Order: sequence, then C-alpha cells, then structure tokens
Amino acid sequence: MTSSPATVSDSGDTPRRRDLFPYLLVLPLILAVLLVNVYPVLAALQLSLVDYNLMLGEQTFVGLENYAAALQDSVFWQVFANTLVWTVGSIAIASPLGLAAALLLHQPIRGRGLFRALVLVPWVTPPVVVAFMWTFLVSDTFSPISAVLQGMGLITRPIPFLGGIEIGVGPLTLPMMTVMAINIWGGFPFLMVVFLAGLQSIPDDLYEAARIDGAGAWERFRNVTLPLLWPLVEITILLDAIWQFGRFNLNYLMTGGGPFNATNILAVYIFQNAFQLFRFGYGAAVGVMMFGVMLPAAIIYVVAARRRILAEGI
Amino acid sequence: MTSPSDRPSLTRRGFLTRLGAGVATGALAVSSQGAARSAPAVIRSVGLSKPLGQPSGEVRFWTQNYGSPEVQKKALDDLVAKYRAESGVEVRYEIVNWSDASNRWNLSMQAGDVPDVADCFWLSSRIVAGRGEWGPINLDDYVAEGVFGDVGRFYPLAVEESKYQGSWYALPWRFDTRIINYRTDYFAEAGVEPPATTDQVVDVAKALTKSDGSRYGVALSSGGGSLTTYHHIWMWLLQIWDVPMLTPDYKQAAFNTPAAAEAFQWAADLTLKHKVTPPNILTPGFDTQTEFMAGRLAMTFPMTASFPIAQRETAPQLEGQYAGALLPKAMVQAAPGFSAPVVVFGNSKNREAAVDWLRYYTATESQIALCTAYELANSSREVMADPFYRSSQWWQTIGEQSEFAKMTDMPTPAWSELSAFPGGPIYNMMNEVLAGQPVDELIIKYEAQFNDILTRYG
Repeated sequence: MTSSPATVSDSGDTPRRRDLFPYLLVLPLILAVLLVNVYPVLAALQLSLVDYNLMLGEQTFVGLENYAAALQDSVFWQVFANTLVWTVGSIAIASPLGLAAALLLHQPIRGRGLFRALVLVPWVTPPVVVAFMWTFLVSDTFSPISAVLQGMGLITRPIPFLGGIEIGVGPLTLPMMTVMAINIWGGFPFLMVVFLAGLQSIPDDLYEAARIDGAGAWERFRNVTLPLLWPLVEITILLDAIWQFGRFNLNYLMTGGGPFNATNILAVYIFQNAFQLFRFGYGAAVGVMMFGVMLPAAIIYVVAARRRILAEGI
Repeated sequence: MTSPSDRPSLTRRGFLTRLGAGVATGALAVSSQGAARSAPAVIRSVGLSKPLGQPSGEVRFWTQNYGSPEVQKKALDDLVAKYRAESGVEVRYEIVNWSDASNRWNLSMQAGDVPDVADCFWLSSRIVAGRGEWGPINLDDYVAEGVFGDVGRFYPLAVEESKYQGSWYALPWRFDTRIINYRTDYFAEAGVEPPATTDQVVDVAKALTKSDGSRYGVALSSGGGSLTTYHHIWMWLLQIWDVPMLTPDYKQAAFNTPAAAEAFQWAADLTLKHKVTPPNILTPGFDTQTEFMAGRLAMTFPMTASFPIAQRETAPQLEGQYAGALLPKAMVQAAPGFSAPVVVFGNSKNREAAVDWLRYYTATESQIALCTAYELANSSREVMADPFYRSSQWWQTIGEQSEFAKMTDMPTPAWSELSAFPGGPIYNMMNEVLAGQPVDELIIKYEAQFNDILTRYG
C-alpha cells in the first residue's frame, strides 16, 4: 500500500484547514444574513400560497390563488402603475437636480461647506417630521403656499394639493405629483453627495488640459465630467431605482395611499392588505411579485458594482 | 486506503452550496409548520378553576387613551395607588393609542401576548381569537356570586355588549354615543334651530353655508382626525333609516335595501348636490374637528362626547359658543352606541388578582373618578347620576341621546375585519359613497365583500 505524502504549506497548515478557516470566520455573518434576509423571503413565499385567517389561526393552502386575485384586481394594477410612475418620475427629476447641485457645490465658492450642509437638511430630516410638516404646508385649509398665491391674486381658491385627483393625466394626478415633489426634495441631496464625491475624484489636470485646448464650460462638462462620472451615475441611479420602487414612509404617512389609491404604491398596498385588512396571503403574494420585479435590477447592480470594483483594482 | 490529498477537499463553491441548501430546506420546513395547524372547532369556556381567594402579586392592565394624556395618567395613577393601599396588589398599566389599537389588539390576540386585564373592544372577536386558551374568561360564576355588585345598574345595551352567547365575558365601563355639535353663534346669526330630521339638516345647513366657501353648514364626522369617521357614519345612517347591518344570526349582510340606498344617497348629496359640506372632506388630512374649531363648519355629527376636551386645549375661544343636540332622525331616532368591555384573559397567571382588579376598576366609585376625569359617559346609571353629568347642557344631551343608542359593533368575530379602520369594507364603502360613486352599485359590491368575510368565519 502506498500513499502520496500530504502537501503541507510553509505555515504548517494542511490545504483542508486553509480552505475552511475563512469560511468559518464569516459563518456568523452569513447565518445572520440568512436569518434576517433569506428566511423572511422564504416565509413570504410560503405565506403567499395560503389563505391565513388571523382570527382563527388557520392556514389553508390555495396555491396560486392569491397571485391570480392580485393580477385580476384593478386596484393592484393602478397601484403598480403608480409605483412605476413614482420610480421613474422621482429619478428623472432628482438625478439631474442632484448633479446640478453637485456641480454648483464643487465650485470653489465662499461658504461652500455651509451650503453643502444646508442642502443635506431635507435628507437628514426624519421621514415622520417631513410628512407632518409637508401635510400642513400643502393642506387645503392652512397651506401658506396657497395663502401666498391667493394674496398675490394668482389663484382664487386654495390648491387641492392632496385632494385634486381630477387634476393631472392618468396616474400622474396632482396628489401624486405633490407627494413625488416632496420625495424628490428629500431625496436629491443623497444623489448630490454621491455625485460630488465622484466629481472630486476627477483629476484637475484633465480640466486644465481641456481649457488649454480651448474647451468652454459646456464642452468640459460633456467631454470630461460626464464620461468620467457616468459609471458612478449609472450605478447610483440603479440603486436609487431599487429604493424608490420600495418606498413606503411618505405615501403612508401623508395620504395613506389616498385619495382613492391616487398616491398608493406597492409597499403601502402590501401593508394595507396584510396589516389592516389581515389578508396576509394576498399581501405576501404582492410582495413576492414586487421582489420578482426588483430582483433583476438588484442583480444588475451587484454585477455592475463588482465590475467597477475590479476595474478600479480595489 | 486514501491519503488526505486523495479525499475531496471542501471548495468554496461546495461549502456555500451545501450551506445554502441546508438552510433553505430548514427555513422552508420551519415556515411550513403553520400549515399543519388547525383551529379548535369549539370555543371552550375558560372559567373558574378555584374560588376567588386573597389577591396578591401583580396585574398587567391595558387601556386605550382617553382625554388628555396628563389627566389620564393622573387618574390611573391615583386609582392604582388606592387599590394598592387597599389590596396590596400592584397594577402595571399600559395605554394603547387608539390610532394603533386595531392592529395592536388583532396581532396581540393572534400571538396570545395579552395582559391580565384589559379595556378592549370587539369582545366577540377577542373571544374567538383567544381559541379557548388566552381569550376573555367566562364571568358567569363571579356575577352570580355578586363579586361585581348589582349588574342591574348597567344600561341594557351595555349588558348586551358584555355578553357572548348569553354568558358574561366582560364588565362594561365607559359608554359612547354621539350627538350634534353646533355653533350657537352661527345658528343665532342665521336664525335657525338644530335640525330634528334629515330633511331639516339640508335646509338648516343651506342657511349656514356661505357662498364664498369660507364656511359650510355641516360635515359628517364622529370625532377628531380624518381616519375614524367613516365606519361610524355608515352604521348611524343605517340605524336611522332602520336598516339592519347584518341578519339576526350575524352571518350575512342585510343592508341591500332601498332604504339603505336612500340613506347613503342623502349623505352623498350633502356634498355633491346641496354643497353644504366642504368638497375636500375626503382629502387625506382633512380633520372635521379642526375645521369646526377653526370656524369653517357650523355643525358636525355624529360627534363624540369628548369634543369639549379638544376644544379647551386647542380652541379656548370657543368656550360657550357651541352646544349639543340630539341627532336628526330619518325613519327612527337612533344613535351609535358602544359600551367598552373590561375583560380578564385566560392566560393570566394571577387570576384572583386580575378578577379583583376588574371588580375594583368597574366599581361605581372608581368609574365616577375615571369617567369624570376623562369626561366620558358611563354604562352605569349610578355613575351617570353623578352631579358632574347633570351640570352641563352637553352632558344632559349625551344622557338623553343614550336612551336611543343602538348596538353598533356587531357581536360577530368578523366585525374586526369588517370594521377595520382605515381600509376595511365599511370604511371603504363610506369613502366611495361620499365621493359620489353610484350607491346601488356600491351596496351590491360591498354586500358581496361582507358575505365573503362573514363566510370565512363560519
């Protein structure tokens, strides 16, 4: 009987011990992630296949009935359309706004630090405070915005910011536009911060060279800033899209999704069905479908981020 | 014999694959446990296991928020301190905010995470959700022994709402009914009296409405905040048009009648046809009580008895400028009536002390102290005979209206789902009625939803 000698590293460890050790170190974290992230997803998947009566504690297997009920429900499609409009609209306005703010605050102006801090205020204000403050500011009865406009003679009656569902086109009603505007107000500072960090990583030499070549401000932006910043912009927008698609706070706190689901988006809809109407199976089914929509975007984000990290040699 | 180098090593992919498969399988198995559970077919009576002895130890007690927080805290602290001095029992109370009470109770009952004693609502729902284990206990033996005194002191509606399937499961404390709240100065200016019928409401409201939109004659509301209004309005409309909400066995909807359509159309017409109600009544954030205090409404109903508390805190300038009146009648004179049950839960670890606290809490002297502090009506005639309730026009009106109060929360476990606020079918239906959706279509649509929910509860 012969046996080949075991291969031993310089440190004296066998290859098996070397393979396992890093995994053992990250095992607690993996277990935590599995418990907090993976298990709830699987539990929601199981819940989406049953009719759960909270009062009686009964779970009846119904297969794909909850999914079918959602797909046949006109309210579900209204809410889904609202969520798409919300996501695309918020990003389409917040991103250029954040980029413009970053470009402005990248300039060597006096008080730049103070302005940067002030711009961050909407983002750092707690969502509950934002919701209650803006509910007052846009209320039919007490809105100072309407009061000023009435005082200037521009309008004769208060603007129904949160009630005027007859104003607008399709899902883009006045209440939806109002809540979106507030969302953009609170969200663009984060984009500004990210873009500002990206701008600061662009070498000044490139701008200097462009100036020497006679490039004006717009040409420097188009040929130097934008191409170098674009990978960061792409990933940030993708990340923001994932966040906006799953937003909850503002719509729930300000309008509860109303009036008549005009401002209802998927996360609020799921909460209402699961925790106010106690239709846990139906809520879980909508949640799983929402997960299915967001998953490809999340995968694209992870792959793109990984490629960027590898390309930068981090 | 193989050497260590011949045995397959655990690669990174292999490790992660095995780990992921194992955890996923385990997670699916754990999360599927619930499917195997089934509800008990019969609600067992969780009654006495031994005679009431000398109470001791600690009791956990839940109640909802009433009046101002400072007043409620003082009243409860005083009561708890007195009880401790007399009995040696420590009562630890928790105040559950009404804005979260529906969710909190439903989830707590599902998990069995309940206190020893509680001021709860929707008694039948709590009994069923307790599944014969942790739900409210049967109090028949205690009542028969006279532990809670003479239960004849309670109003008939309060007794009815404290029982389930003929047995006592709760003792009632506060009583709730609704009246008209109106601005006496506006009414004097317009030369009108509070309306006695639904037809008169329209005429009176028109006389009080200003064409520039600065003031409207009426808004239907049952209290502060925009969320709590709709389901109570729905119930009251059916009551005064003498339409039953459910069949006598509480198993089917019974409001698909021409009278119900007339009732809901009357409510919708106030805004859409007669324009005596603010057009933005359905806007999120619209608060009828705030509008009334701001002088933009002349009259609101069915209004809760607790309005004077909010008025003193936020609109002291209105003192002496408003009054109460009986709700208008349509076919009959009626008002929403609720009595709040106080229960002992079956999984209490200190049953004797819990029952004794229930006795002490619902005693006449304790109820006078609490309800006069909170400014709430009471289920007991003895309490309502206190000079506090006979001293003001507002409370005299509440007392008079109580005579016409009808059961409003139906004694079916499905009621918590039907009446969920916001978002339940009653709430949604009233929303759509006030928005002007065709009433006949709404009645058919929501009758089906009602029956679907009622069927699930058997």
